[in-house]
Amino acid sequence: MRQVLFLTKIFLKNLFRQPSIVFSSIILPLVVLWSTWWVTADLPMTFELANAEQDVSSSMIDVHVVTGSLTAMAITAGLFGFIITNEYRKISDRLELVGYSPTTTGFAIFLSLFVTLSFSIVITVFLANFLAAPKDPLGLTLAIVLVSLIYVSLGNLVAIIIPKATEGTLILLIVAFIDLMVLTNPMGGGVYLESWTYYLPGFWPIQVALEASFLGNASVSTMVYPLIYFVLTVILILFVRNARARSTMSFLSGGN
Amino acid sequence: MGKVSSLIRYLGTGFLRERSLVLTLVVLPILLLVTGRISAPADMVAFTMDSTLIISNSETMLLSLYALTAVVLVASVSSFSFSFNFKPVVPRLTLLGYQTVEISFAFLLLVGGINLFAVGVTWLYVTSVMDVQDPFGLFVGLVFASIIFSTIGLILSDLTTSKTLGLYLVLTLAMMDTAFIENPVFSRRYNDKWVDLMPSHHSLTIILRSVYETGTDWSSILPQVLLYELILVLFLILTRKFKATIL
Repeated sequence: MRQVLFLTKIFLKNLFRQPSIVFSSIILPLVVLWSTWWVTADLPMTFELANAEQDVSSSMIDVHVVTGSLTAMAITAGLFGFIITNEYRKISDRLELVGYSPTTTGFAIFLSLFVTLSFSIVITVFLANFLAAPKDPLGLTLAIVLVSLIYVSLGNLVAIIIPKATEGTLILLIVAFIDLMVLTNPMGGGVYLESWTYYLPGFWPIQVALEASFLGNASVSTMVYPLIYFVLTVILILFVRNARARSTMSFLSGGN
Repeated sequence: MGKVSSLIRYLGTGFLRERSLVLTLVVLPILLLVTGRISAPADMVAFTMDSTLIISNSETMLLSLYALTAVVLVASVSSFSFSFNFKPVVPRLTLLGYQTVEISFAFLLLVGGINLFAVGVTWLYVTSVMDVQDPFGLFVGLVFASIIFSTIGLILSDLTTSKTLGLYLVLTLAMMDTAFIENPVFSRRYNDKWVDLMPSHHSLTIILRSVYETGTDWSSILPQVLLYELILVLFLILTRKFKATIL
């Protein structure tokens, strides 16, 4: 644990030294969220929820702001997780060579990412609550935190598997966009609430956000699924990191 | 011209060797288009264009927009990354006697040419799954969108020192423009005058005029789109010239 905290402190110092962090973690989500509110047409819409009996009627602007806050954080967290993990790839390889375990470096990167992202989460939560006036602001906040956790871990995972910046960035952006703006979003229309979309990373956080914003309370069962998703992704990351470290060590020791 | 083509050959050899280009130029645009198609609601949508009320099924309109988004995302990210990766080579090429104009044209022709694959794939998919009034017009619209965002990617790679910041900037611009502002149904800003200044606006006009019967020929907007691209190219050359002078 001490090693994790020590590495986290070093990673954080390095992160805060970069001016691009301000844009990546604060301005980007604000721009995405504000423009969803500013651009969307004021049309009435009715939609269903996965865990609630009643239909919800609302303005398209409110629905778009609520789902847009999750999209903004998913894109920010995903891209941020990917780019920073990718930048720290060589450093973590060296740290593992001098004796740090892949689990320790993995947790340290993840912790430093989450500390940095907490600033964007606070700002996004504030703006989303201001623009959409949800019935249950805490529920919307939880949904934003959940989607950030899931996407930062997905960004981390993609960076370990696909180290190329262009492809990784595009994959994460397109996946986050398709997931939260098209397939799991009531504004997407066509396949919303189809059973296979329940397995997408953004489905349950969107449901938590919609339940909290339009019904006033998000059910506990809705919140459990994204947490399970997050824990499974972290386990997968640790597994892949360990496998990668083992193959590097085996390569360095001549394949024995 | 001979210097430019030899430069393109030199830069292109390294770029085309990357197998992951298949993912960027083919798989990702198709993924976006297929998702757009399967997720399109069965409803009809209505919007006004060239003073004509257009009533269309959602699938046709969404696919037209997603085609633009796919082409623009690929063009902006690939041109930014390519130019950023070759940034250290530019001062060396200048010292070797290459003119700034020659280097800029070589970059633009190479990136624009490679991005044409994504345009071709997108165009083939769209024309095979929906009825398009003028397929050639659709192709022209996609080509211009790709070239304009390739140029923007090159400009941003010159202006930014951080790859993270540049990628975020170019992606945010591309996504805001094509997915939010330029949606004629869901955007309440679509008919605002300032939207004409957005980089993908003229290309989208060409695309929509080619897909729907609006009574106005798509080619009438070509001077504006060419002027837009010309201004961007001039800006790119001036930025590079300025940097070369400092060097």
